[in-house]
Amino acid sequence: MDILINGKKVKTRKGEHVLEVARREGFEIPSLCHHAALPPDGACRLCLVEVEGPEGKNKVTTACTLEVAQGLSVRLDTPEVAANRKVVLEMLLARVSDSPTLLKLADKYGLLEMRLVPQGEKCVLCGLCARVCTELVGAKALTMEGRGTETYFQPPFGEPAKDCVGCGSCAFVCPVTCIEYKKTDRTIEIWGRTFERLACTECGEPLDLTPEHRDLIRRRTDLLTPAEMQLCGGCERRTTMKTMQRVVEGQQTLETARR
Amino acid sequence: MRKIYLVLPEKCTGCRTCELSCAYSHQIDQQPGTPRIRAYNTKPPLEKGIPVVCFQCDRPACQEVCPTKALQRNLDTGAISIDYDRCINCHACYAACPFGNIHIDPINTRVAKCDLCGGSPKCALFCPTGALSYK
Repeated sequence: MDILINGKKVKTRKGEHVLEVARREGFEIPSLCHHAALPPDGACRLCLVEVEGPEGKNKVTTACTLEVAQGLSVRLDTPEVAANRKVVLEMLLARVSDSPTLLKLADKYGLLEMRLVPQGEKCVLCGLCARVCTELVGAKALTMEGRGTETYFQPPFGEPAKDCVGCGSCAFVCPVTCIEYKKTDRTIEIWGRTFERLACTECGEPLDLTPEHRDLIRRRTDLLTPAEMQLCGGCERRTTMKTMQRVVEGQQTLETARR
Repeated sequence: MRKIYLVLPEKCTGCRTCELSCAYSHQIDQQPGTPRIRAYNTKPPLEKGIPVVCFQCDRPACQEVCPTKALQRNLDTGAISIDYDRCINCHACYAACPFGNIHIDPINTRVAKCDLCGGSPKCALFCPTGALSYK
């Protein structure tokens, strides 16, 4: 199925969305809430494009949720798109005024004056953290709380996150890096919880792993025995090296070295 | 036919040229990345090197625990490679690999593993003794 992006004919597959197709073809579309591993959400409203309709009835919509269809023709840089995007950016910036990501976008898309009062919030409510936690990691520790202008993404009831495993994925994917994730030698602090970091049983070096996260990882596969995931990368490699050495020196055959 | 990445530890001298070539072929912003291969020197009486690099397992633990399917086998090379667009940096693969062959890049804290350089492994190209080869 072919679609037109800025007049250029582009090959697509059924079920794809315009944003991923356009990015694959090298077109630039800004977005905050899009993630390749997640279904589209259309929360940030930045990836606007103009769809050509019949008799010049064009409409502006989000590229991430726009599924490809036969004869679809979109334009990425019309005055309509630019004007709408500027308003979206202005509202996002009014909410979170000090985000370098947003300031860079404002610079790039020509947002010169701010007509709205800054709200001094930290989060743009894209919801990526909660979606990653629920749909990918499977911890289901975050949720959307409240309604309307009082909406927040946080653990249920705003209490310390009961189901959080401390993997830090939410903090990593957050486009405005507003999630506080503090890592010390012994602990990981996030969402009001303090997790203990596991230590390598060989050398004692702290791992990037909490006991809760380890249990979650174990549930995904039957490959890992309880003896696994105890060592740090370096100690695991040294164990591998010693096994290889025994095989090379003929003390052990490859068959017995294999688990 | 698909080429095979062959490691012959008995030929390795532990010179660590492979580590160097790997670090420079996986640069991040013109800084050398963490080497995806490590060459260890064994202790006397038999002093030699042993290269430890991803085995590209038939049933990889890293791939099975990845929540985003970011780790997929490249059917051209047979290597398990990371799709960084899908990766959410949860470090589950790093924890799950029983051989320690998933690394964390200290520059950007992203996970890194051997991807056979997309079909022309630089370590095999630079290995002076033929301990690493791709044929």
